[in-house]
Amino acid sequence: MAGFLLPAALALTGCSGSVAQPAADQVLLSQNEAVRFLNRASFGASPADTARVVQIGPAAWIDEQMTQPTTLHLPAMLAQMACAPEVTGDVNCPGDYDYFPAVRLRHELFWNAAIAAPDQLRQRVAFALSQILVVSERHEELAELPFMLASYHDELSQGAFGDFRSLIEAVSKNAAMGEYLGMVKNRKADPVTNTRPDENFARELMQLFTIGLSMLAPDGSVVLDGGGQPVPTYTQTEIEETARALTGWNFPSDITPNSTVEDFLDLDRRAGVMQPWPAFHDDGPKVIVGGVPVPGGLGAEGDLDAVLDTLCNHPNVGPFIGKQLIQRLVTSNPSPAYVARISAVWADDGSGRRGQLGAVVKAILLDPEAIRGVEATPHFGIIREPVLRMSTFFRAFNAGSFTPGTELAWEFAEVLRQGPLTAPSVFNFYRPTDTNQALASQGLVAPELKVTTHSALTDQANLMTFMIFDAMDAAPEQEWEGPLYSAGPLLTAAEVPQSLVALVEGRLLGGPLPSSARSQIISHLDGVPMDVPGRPRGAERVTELLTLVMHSPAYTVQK
Amino acid sequence: MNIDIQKKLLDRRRFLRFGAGAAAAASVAQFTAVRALAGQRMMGGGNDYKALVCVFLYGGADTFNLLVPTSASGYATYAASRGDLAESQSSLLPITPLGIGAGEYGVHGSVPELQGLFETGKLAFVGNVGPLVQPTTKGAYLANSVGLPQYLFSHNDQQSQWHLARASGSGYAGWAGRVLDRMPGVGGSTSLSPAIGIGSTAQVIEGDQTSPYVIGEGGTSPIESYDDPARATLRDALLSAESHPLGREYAGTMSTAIDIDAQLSGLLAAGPSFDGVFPESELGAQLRMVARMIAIRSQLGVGRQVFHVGMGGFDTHDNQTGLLPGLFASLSAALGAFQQAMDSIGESQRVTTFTHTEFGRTLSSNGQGSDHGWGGNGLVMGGAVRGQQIYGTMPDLTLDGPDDVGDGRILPTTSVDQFAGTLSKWFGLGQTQMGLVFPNLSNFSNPDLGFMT
Repeated sequence: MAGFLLPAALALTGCSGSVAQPAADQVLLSQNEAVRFLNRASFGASPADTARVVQIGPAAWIDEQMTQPTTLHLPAMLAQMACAPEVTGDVNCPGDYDYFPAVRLRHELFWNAAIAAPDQLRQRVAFALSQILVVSERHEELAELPFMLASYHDELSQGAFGDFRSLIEAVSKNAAMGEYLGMVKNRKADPVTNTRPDENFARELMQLFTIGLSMLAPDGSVVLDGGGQPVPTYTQTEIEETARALTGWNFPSDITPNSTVEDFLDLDRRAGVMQPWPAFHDDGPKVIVGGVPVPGGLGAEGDLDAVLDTLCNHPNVGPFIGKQLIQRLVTSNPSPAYVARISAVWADDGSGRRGQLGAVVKAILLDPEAIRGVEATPHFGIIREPVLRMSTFFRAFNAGSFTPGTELAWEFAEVLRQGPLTAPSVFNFYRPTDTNQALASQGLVAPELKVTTHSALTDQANLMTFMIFDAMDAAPEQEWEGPLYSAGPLLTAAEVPQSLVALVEGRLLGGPLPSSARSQIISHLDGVPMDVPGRPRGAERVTELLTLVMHSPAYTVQK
Repeated sequence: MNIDIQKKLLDRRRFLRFGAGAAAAASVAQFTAVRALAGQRMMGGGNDYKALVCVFLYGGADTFNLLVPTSASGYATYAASRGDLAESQSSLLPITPLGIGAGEYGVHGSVPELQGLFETGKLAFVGNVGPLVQPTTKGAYLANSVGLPQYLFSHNDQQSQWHLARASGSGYAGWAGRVLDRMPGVGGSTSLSPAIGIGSTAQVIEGDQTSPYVIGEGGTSPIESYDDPARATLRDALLSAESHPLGREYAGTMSTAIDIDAQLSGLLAAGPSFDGVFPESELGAQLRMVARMIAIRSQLGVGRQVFHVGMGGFDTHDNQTGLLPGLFASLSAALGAFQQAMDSIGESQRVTTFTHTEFGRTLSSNGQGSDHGWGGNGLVMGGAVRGQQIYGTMPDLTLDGPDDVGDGRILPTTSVDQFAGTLSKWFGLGQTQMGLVFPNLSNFSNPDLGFMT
């Protein structure tokens, strides 16, 4: 059932201004709709958030979320770890320093925040951004630099509701990104050694982080030339020119940079914001994307500004980034009209400002196509990312946090095929266009299929089973190092299988199981004993139902 | 899958209680599948079996440092172009290609296994391969006067053009998938797909009808908690009730996972494990799984299979001299072990292994590594390969020379279509089908490069 629109006079939130509110702000949601909304706008609908959304509506909930303080990882890691070489240097670190506890801690902090941080929407958006502006610990150096990765994730969290131009500048200057894509220590051409600048960051900045490969219409469709071919957004030469413009950056340091190449190349890795080294910057004039001339003499900062201004003002950014945000949060296959509406908000947030992520995210979540959901669009939805398959369960049943200092949170990344900043490459866990032949013939994509292969879904399902049995707070398995979920309401409801099924549907799905299977399941649960030796009363029915539901397509597709 | 969790899940079986009488009940479906396979064994897998193994080097491998000219003039040109990226002449391992002789070429110092395979006729190189729409000269490239591959130097687009073996036109299916589409029945009576990805799927083995099966490096596992037939029935009811288009794909994948695990787990457990044969690397673990699958192919009764394995880390923009030796060493050790495994089970003549990579790299250095190139050297390995030869046309490695389209990006002299077409012909794709599967192949005068017997 679609969200019903109340007249402004009946809105529960006070309408104080003289400016008329758009209709989307007046929407109120039913219980089930609220659960489905929160599954898009957080790491999973919790009972408390569900009640809040029902009470004040999704728009007001989003506004509340944007006032929550930002959960940061780096300060928490520094508070818990005695030694952080890439932050403070290795002065206080023992000779046998082991980075691995900090690696595990970063994973633990991510999961604990996903489960319980108050700034749910911000963290969900940061997670989405981390899959577009990709940095990963699956990297020779970054695998051993967890503090640097935490600082990068914090940059995304802090920028999640700000303007995109500021975010992309922070990302470009971040030391972890510099390490990941070769921006750090990239120096101008040297005719003596016959070297030229590294093109890696210049290329991916354009291809993946801002404008993409080909010209797009505001509705996300590819523009075709007279011969029916896509129109490239940049040439190889423009990549080379952009690479020249992005030379001369290095890790932050306290020393005054002198001009030797050895000093430049030997500077230690440090988290934080990179610094320009003028001696290694190509300060000549360049012609960058779209034939835009950049005069000489601007310096590294000036050249970076020129590049980022040009890219961020490119009309592609709204549909290119906006559509990907829709795919991460709401649906893999938005209609062109939906994409166009979001592109419009990207171009102008209502106050004449471009690239305002807060306004864009709000528009994505409150768009009528998102609110109407699968009732209006049969293919609406997303195959849930593996991280979200777990986090949604944890939040639905008020799970706690991971046992500190253990390995399970880190192990999740391998078993699930997905974790925080663990993409196999800068192309993320999947591409926005990934699909299979059956869906391609229907004109549909489903990127998350890439991490839901026969092998992957077996491991993911088995991890869920493990958790369902071992993480029940009423009878936790000693070996389980993860969050315990609150089983009380489930055990109580188990007396009446119909009630248990309704509870699980309400918490996890925000809608009913398929009706034919549903009646079979209820009949089956009637025959499952309430009392089984060694288990809490009702536990047998609870674990049986949870396993069936969480392995099912009904749960696996976020609608 | 992580060892600890896997062990815990096996231990879990002892704690799960499924209701009275269910603990001892074997899965009916599993029992039935095993009996069906026993019947198939008598029908026989046959000697008409062939397998292709695609080893995709993700990132764009610097293969102009894998196969290197060692004549005085050849090496001088190479070294001048490569600058600080050049392999030292003394580090290269000599090879003696038939028809060329000694002293002309060497291979990277980290690949003694590949050197040995080359010298014993089980490995061949194909020089300077890459996506081309048609034969292309530097002049035509610069003038844009012929059809060119789209989005040159972009990772995912160039990967795609290798997966498709087609540098123009549209379509989803990879070249090996398209080949398998035209070989109905090669799966035998098993429901296992003839296209198998180890650890992940890949476009090269996805066809219009062929849908790959993905198996983990360690083999298959059951999806736990369904020993009770009543529960399995409910699980299946939820799968078949699904009407959402995305949900149906998940349901299909889960059904297949359950079905294939039932077929394969016993066979794999009883088959050779190749313990101690393979290095414990990313590629070694995947190729070991390929070997285990090929070792049970008779029991499955399959006629044709294509495997995909992948190795990452080749995008050496940075620290190339530090990284490349380890990458090539790992590749060589894993390929050597795989060929040894195929020899040991008598499948050497029937299994052909080959490399793909999205591009070679710029001959010129960026000060710390190389950037995205275009053409690069490929290799093929197996008992049916006419080895100890370099096929195709080796390029002029001079910067700004006739094959350099900028900064040492080398214009390919052989297309991926020809490379894949030659493999497909050996694999059994009929002549009449060749033009349908490889629509641009007729643009090239030499559709069969001649490296297969």
